[in-house]
Amino acid sequence: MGLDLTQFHETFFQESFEALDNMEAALLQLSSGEPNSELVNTIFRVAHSIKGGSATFGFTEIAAFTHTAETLLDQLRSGKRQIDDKIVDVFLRSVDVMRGMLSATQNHTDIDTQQVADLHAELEQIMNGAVTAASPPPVEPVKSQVSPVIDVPHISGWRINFAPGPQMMKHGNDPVRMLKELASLGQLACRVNANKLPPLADLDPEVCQLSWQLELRTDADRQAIEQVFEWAEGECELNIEPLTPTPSAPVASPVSAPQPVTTAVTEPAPVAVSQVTPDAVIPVTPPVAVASVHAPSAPTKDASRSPVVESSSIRVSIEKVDELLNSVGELVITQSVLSQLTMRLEGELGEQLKNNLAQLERHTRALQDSVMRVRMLPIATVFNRFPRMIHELGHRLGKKLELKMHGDHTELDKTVLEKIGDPLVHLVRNSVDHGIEMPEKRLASGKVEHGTIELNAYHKGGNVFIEVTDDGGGLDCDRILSKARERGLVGADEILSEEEIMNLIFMPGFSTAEVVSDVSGRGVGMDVVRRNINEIGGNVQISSVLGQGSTVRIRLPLTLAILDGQLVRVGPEIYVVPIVSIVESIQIKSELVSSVANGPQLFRLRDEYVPIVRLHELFEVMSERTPLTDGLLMIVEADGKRIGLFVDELQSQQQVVIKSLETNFHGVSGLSGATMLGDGQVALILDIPGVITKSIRQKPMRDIPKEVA
Amino acid sequence: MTDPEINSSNSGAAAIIDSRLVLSSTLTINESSALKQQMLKLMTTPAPYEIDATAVERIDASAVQILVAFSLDCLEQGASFKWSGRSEVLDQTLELLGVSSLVESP
Repeated sequence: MGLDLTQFHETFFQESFEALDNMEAALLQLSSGEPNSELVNTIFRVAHSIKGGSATFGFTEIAAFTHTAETLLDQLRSGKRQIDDKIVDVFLRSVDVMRGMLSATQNHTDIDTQQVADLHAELEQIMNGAVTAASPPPVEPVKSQVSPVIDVPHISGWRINFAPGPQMMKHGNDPVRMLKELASLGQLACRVNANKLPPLADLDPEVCQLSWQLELRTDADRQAIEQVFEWAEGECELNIEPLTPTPSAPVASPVSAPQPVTTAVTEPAPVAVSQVTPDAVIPVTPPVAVASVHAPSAPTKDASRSPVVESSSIRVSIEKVDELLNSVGELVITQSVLSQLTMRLEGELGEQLKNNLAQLERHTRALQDSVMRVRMLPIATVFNRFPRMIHELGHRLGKKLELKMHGDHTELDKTVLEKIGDPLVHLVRNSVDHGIEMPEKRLASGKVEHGTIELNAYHKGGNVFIEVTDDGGGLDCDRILSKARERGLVGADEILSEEEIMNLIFMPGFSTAEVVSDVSGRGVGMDVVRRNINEIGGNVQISSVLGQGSTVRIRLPLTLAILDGQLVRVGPEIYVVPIVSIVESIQIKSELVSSVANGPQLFRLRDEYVPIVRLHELFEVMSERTPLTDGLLMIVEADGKRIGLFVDELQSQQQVVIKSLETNFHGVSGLSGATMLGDGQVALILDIPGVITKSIRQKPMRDIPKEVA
Repeated sequence: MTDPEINSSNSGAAAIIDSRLVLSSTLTINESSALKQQMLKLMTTPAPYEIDATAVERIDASAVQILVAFSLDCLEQGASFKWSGRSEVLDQTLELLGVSSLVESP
């Protein structure tokens, strides 16, 4: 009997979380600008669809809470209540509570009922016109909560013909719920058509034989109406037409007597899901049943299906995409192997094969690119959290802030996106806390009162750049240096360039904040930020002008699935060095090599000394060229540290498909993965930060080398 | 007086007690087949029928259409029935679906 609804839960959760993000964004826009009915409608729709969905799935706590939120939103939407900061704040907290309830339900953990009950009570208090005790008096008195008359003849509405198909109810879509939702959007007049209803004995109770002609007077848009039916998409006949504006005489509708207005808004009782919502009932008019009794009960014809919403996207699990990407990766490798094999073929047939393989290569690369793009998401999914954060940080720290975001449509790989969120949050917090000055200080230094944080994302040269800029005080190099000396991070007589001084803020345990706040200033953060960004193959730089502000620029790879690599040979082995980590490659002159007692050999690269790491020693492979002057030194950099990798020779540069060692073998320090080359050989991909750590740990102790001396 | 032993039946959706059908609190698609059977059974007893719907707390469209079909059957057969009570939820739902006038006894 019926359908197992649990299979739809995950989709519901995902959609609800996304919808809550939208709601949050709309609330923040509301808080900063003019009242905007479209924004209120957006917010209302989110609450409405979450309520509907959760009621359908039997998540009664979520449904009850969102119902209350929705009722209050309805008051805002109809102009019965003024939007003020306090209401926006309560709704922002409601978003958090709803997120919490959804997560708890999704993870089968307990809902924080106390938190829900508290906020529920607060919402109801507002609905009842009471002022929350803890909050300051509202800027302007809240309007009376009940407006006595619906005298809005100008509103148009929708005529909806709705005929459930044979499967609709079986799939858990109950017309009662849909009509209830419609009624909650405005004034609903309803005509039922029962002429397909057979005698009781012939009736299949699971197939809805009733259909409806509805007139909904509302200012809700078509999308809101379609949303009511979205679960029944393809399972009902639906026709939505705008009502021609005939304000005083509704077509075919018996509604025109003034409707008593419900005072339900003042009733604080939590609404059980199964109850008809009060505002759904009142506007419903006495029905006109146009039942022509029992048409000869012909077997139900299959209702012609007309999809309710034309969907332009589908949801696919990330595992499926990764599987596809993996297969394409294998295809690329096989294709490279084939290309190499055919190199030796001669004659006309060989030429033809080569030509066609070249074409295959193009198609394969195109396919790879396309699949890669499937994994791409706009950075807006990360940026979206910042308006709320800035809003709250501003309140908490007493600073006036403005957030500008550019390039939020810039796309990058989902995995990169997931990992960049936390570092960005840290950077923005830092900018607000350390960068932007207090309003009075800003005014005193001739700046505008509100500080500006700018987030900017753009593509450049196969990378994605994200910049966090503030127009705050900027970095004080003298102060950073003295702090660093104080903490022993820099020797007393060491001379550092401005860039090096600024980079000190990425050192573990470094903070110049006078007061450790709960926002930042504990000195954990910037080093973690840099490490996290390095881990996903990116890097971070900071530039700053004292008194004018700072910019942190993050460079990220477009994807983690392929890598631009430099192939290097060490003995019989080929290694891949990520190009992003390479500073330069040079031939070693023996006079530039020196040794520290009990320490590594150092190479003098202009005015700095770089430790030499012999890759063949690190990975214990046989090398052909042990004297330093025979091989090449590749200077690589990570976490602000540089080392020189001693290799036998450089080979080609190429994009390689990364195969995880963890998945296929197990993690090995100093290696981030493996790839297969065109000739079928496996090459290991170096993890430069790992190599640096490994080389420091191993600390090759050697005497002054003979080959240099 | 009919014999309660014979005329008493309970399906979970509704119970017939002496030509009186007492509807349960929950009437959804899950109970609709049972409800239909009970209503058909009720129609084998002598009219007028009596339906007690005071307990109904939750009802969906599948159950509503059974009530409508029953009522229209009565209309066709010239049989009469009466509601000995209807819960507020039922009234609201009937009104919402526009079928209130269809479930009144002829």
